[in-house]
Amino acid sequence: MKNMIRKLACIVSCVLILYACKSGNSDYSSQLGIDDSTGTGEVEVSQAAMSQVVDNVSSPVEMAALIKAIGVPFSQKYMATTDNSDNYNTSFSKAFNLGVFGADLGYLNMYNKTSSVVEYITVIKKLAEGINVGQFFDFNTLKRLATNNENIDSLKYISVHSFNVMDKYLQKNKRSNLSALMVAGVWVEGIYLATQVYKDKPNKKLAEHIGEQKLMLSELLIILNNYQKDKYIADLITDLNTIKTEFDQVTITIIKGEPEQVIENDVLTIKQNEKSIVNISDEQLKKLISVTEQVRDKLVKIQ
Amino acid sequence: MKSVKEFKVIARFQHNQKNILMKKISLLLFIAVFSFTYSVKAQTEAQKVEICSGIAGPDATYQKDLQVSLDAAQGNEKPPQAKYSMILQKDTKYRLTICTADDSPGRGYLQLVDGDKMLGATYDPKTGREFKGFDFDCQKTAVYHIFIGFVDGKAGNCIAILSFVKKL
Repeated sequence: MKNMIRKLACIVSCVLILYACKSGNSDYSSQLGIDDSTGTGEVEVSQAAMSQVVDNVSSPVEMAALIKAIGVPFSQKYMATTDNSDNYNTSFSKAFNLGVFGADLGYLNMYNKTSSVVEYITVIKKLAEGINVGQFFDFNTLKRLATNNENIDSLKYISVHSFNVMDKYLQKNKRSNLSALMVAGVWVEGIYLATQVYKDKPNKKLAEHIGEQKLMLSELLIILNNYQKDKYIADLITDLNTIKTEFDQVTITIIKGEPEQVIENDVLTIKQNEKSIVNISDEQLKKLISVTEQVRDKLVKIQ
Repeated sequence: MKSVKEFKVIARFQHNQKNILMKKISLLLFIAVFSFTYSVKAQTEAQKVEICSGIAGPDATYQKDLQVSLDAAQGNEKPPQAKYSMILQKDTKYRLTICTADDSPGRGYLQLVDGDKMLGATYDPKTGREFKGFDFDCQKTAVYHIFIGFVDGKAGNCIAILSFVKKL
């Protein structure tokens, strides 16, 4: 009788504990070790520095939306190949390329290319597990949604939300260097996508959007400079600075204006009348396309 | 044949064993219940984000969520606010939505600020009018600041969602 009660209590407890552990958003402690061989282990960044971090530096949703809005058809050739994924052996390459494939996933989702989504989320899952954030990537649900070609909105939501959760977890657990690498990967792939599309189909809005990346790159470099003691991130900064050099020639003019508030059908809309005008020449674009290609191709091949 | 003394020792031993067993069962059950409760709470946070994202509307694509929890202002101090800095891009319609938790003492509000200029807010203290959110037709790529607080400086919990609506 005693044995039976003991066994029953153990079984019930184990089931409940396992159920609790399965939940994706638990606030795990930093007990999970990471591959420290790259030197990208736990990192302490001052609260003052963290409070200055600007968010939304790179958005796969917005870049893909712009490309789709200007009428450019989907093309697999713009995306990073998943063939290299087995070669990403360091935390650096895993985190960075997690961002790269995250950007590609955004591109696939925007064009509803669910047939290719499974291949990319498989790689994303592997890379995320490689830096111990795989538990936040809802692979099974994404696979089901993509395979059954159902509920594209949920697919988009879960894709983006999973990355946000991974990002927040890394920042909270003194691994914000890997978060910065993920953001860098999304940005590099995003600007690569935009410049490659521009090469095939020049477009004024796309040119402006590329020129505006000057601001995003400045903010990204501020984030990365917090971790410049890391050799890999220092090398990344050097590579990104070659792109920044080309952006130095791009000018952005601000035309002042006051915002308007419009209420229609109980919906408040803020219409901004202050505008930014990007001045970027064909020559500058050509150089940006070239240097972006070189940097991105180099980084997605790094092991 | 066992003596009375031996029976008493055996009975005491069995009683102690029973106590130890009950304590172990209680401890295991406590751990199980605690873990379950914690997991339910964690799942609810993710669900809250998803619900708030849905409130933004079917034409909005979720981009970021900001989860805010603040204490009430003390005495004459300025009501606390959480501040976030984000890059928003020109020719883009964004939607900012605020969802106050059911158990929040205060009602959450959100302000969008460009430099030192407030562009819009979900709460107007002069009129008392409140909105669940607002759209922002961005024409200037820049770093913007989002301030989140609670009406009348009360304590509160809320979630704010930044969504992409469309390119303008």
